[in-house]
Amino acid sequence: MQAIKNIIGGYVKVKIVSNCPERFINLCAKQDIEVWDLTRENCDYMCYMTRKGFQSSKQLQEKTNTKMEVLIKAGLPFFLCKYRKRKLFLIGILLCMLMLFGLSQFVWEINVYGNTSYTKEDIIKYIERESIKLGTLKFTVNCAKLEEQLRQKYEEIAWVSCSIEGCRLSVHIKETLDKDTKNTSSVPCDIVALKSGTITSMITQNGTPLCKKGDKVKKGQTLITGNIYIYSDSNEVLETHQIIADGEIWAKTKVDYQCVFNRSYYTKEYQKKKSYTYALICCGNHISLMPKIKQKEGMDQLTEQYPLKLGKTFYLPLCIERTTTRRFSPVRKEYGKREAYEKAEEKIAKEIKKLKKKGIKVLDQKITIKVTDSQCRAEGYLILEEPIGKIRAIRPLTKKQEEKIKPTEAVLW
Amino acid sequence: MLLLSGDILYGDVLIRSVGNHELFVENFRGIINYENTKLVLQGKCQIVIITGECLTILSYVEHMIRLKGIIHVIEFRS
Repeated sequence: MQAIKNIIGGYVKVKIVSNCPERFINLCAKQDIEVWDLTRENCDYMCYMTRKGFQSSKQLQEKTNTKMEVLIKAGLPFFLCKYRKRKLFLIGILLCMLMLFGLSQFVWEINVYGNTSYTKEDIIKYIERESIKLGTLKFTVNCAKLEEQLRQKYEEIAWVSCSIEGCRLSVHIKETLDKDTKNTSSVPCDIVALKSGTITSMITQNGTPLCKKGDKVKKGQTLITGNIYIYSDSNEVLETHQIIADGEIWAKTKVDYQCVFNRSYYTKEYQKKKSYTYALICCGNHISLMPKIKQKEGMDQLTEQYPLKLGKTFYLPLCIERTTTRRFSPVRKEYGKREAYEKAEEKIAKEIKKLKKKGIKVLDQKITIKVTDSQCRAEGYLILEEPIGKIRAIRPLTKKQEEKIKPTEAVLW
Repeated sequence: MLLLSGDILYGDVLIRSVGNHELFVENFRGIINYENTKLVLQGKCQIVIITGECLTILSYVEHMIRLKGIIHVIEFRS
């Protein structure tokens, strides 16, 4: 911190020439003039002083008959003084700062986190098509509206949060609503069923529950409502409040499983040689830095894009694109009966592992594998226990739902 | 009886050392002499002589000095 202060205020390295330099240094210390890195070379004292300290020590120099020779001048004031006549340089710096400030007011990068069933590219394409294109002004972005749009478009999304960090729009997604997911909806909302099933456990943290453990629910049915009704003694609604519904609902669901694949397949035998081409993407415009290789049959191309950024979050509208081209020759192969069976089993295990990774419990499975001369077919169903809560914009209750939450009349004995 | 330390009661020099390569000296009046191998400080009632090699004063503010180098001897003289 002190070093930064010294750079901003400016400092000097001086040679003290005096009959009694100790006296001068003592007086400097008494008058709060900072002295550091004091060394003695031959008969001379060398030290560093702040620019202000050096200026205010002039009286002490006269008093102690000391002469000071400035060896090094460093810091911002000296730098500005040195380049004070270079107006274009100063204008350049100001323009650069202005450009940086101007560019930092736009969204240059969209990132999606937490997606498993939907691809990142698909979500980004939807965001760019529907509302926020790259280069949109940051203050025009309505994160709450975007969250609602995403929830409506992608049914599997249970929770979504959008935020702007620097020049990046971050979209965090959860495809199941669990206790670890924070309910960050800022407006009143309901919790609805993501899938049809039978409720196995239900914890309501906020709102009015509309169903209980053991109930069969359909996809889209309201499980916890954000509407709170306050009744009078005669069971008439006095007031209604709308809150952010929150809770954890687990249900037993049945998911069909089908996987069919041919026993004969092709694999790619790649050549060792790889060729690279580079291009620059500036505001969506493609500028080739090298002649592009046209994709033909028997050729794989992998394109990687590296966005240029300053620091962690300040993305520039520039991107370097690298295309790797590899040639291959297709080789026809065939799974043996046993091999095909094992492959199908492997695919089922992979699917179960994927579900478990998402925090879903697999209670039962009934899948039959049939291997014919040309195909291998795995069919059946999985019984799962999973969180089925999903946030949805609040909706008024139907009469049937109102009846459900209406308090029963007390019976006086 | 109050158990106050010497630097408060008698104005003794306060010395704190980090190994033999760094030294903090407080509660002194000023520098009498400074060389690469020797630093003489004036305390309230005694003189402190620090001898060593490559002695550099890292910072010097009123009543506080930070010294760097290879310190051999710290000597007190009345």
